[in-house]
Amino acid sequence: MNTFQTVVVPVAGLLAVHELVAWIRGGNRLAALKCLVWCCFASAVYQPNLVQWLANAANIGRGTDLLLYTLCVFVLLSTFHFMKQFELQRQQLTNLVRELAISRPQWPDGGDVQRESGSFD
Amino acid sequence: MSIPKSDVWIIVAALNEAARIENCVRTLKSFGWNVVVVDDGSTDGTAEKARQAGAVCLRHLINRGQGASLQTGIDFALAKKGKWLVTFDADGQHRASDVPAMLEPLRQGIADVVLGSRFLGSTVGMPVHRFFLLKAAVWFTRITTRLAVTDTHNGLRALNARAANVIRIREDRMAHASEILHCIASERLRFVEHPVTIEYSSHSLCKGQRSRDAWGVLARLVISRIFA
Repeated sequence: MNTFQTVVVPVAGLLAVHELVAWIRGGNRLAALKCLVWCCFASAVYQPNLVQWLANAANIGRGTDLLLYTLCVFVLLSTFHFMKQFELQRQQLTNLVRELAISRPQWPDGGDVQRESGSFD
Repeated sequence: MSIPKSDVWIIVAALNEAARIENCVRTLKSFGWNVVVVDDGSTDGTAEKARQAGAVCLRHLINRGQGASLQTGIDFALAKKGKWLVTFDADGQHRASDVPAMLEPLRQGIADVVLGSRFLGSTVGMPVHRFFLLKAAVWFTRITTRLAVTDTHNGLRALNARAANVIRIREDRMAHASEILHCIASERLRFVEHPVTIEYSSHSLCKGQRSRDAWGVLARLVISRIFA
C-alpha cells in the first residue's frame, strides 16, 4: 500500500464501522447507506483496479469516467436533498416568526394588551 | 344591506414604510375598517407609526417577505373572526376608495375572491417595460392556471373567510401572487376581477418588484412544484 492508501483506507474503514454500529443500534437506514458508501470508497482506494473492472463491466471504458459519472449523480442527489431540507426549514422558520407575531399583537391604544374579542373599534 | 365595517379587515404588509404607513393607515381607518399592519422586520419604526395611526400591528422579528406577511395578517384576521379580508399595499400604490366596490361581489355572494385589475381600471405613471412584463405574466398565468385574469400581480384583493381559510400562502416572497392564483384555480374558488387604479411613484418603483425579479418568481414556482 502507498502512503495515501495507508492513511485513507483505515479511516474510511473506521467510519464504515461507526455507521454500521449506528445502523445496528438505531435501525437508521441512512446509516446503512453511509456504511455502504464508506465501504465502497475504502475498497476503491485499496484496490483501484476494482473501479476499472466495474467500468469495463458497465461498458463505460475508463475507471475515471465511472468515478466522474458517479460524482455527477451524487452531486445532483445531494443538491436535491439539501434543497428539500432548505425548503422545509424555510417554512418552519416562517411559521415560527408568524406564531410569535400573532401571539404578541400591538394594539393601537392599549400597548401590548391582547384583546380576545373581534374588532378593536 | 351593507357589510358591517367591523367585519372587514384590511391587511397591510409593510417593510420600512415609516414615511408612508401613517397616511395609508389613517386613510383606511377613515372608512371604519379594521386595519392590521404586519411589520416585516422594519428598522425605521414602521410598527410604531402604524400603531399611532390606529392599526393593530404584528411584528415579524426577522424579514420573511410579503407573502409570509400577508399570511400572518390573514391568520390573525381569521382568528379575530374577520369575515371579509382585503390585502393592501403599504407603498401608496392603491386607492382605499376602490375597496368598497370590491367588497360588493363578496357581500352579494357571487364571488369568493375579488381581484383588483389595473388593466381593467387605470394606471398612473406605469413604465413601459413594466407594462410588458405584467402582460407576459398574465399570459403565463393564463396558460398555467387556465384562469381568465387580466392582472396577475395586483396586491389589492378581497376575500371572504372561506377563501381566506382555503388559500394558504407558502411562498414567502413575491411568488405569492402567482401562488394565490394557482390556489384559486385548484380549489375552484369563484372569483371576479374589479377595475382599480394603481399609482406608481418613484418610491414604489424603486421598492417594488424589479423586472429581473420575474426570473426569481419563475424559479420559485418551479421549485415549489418540485418540493410541494
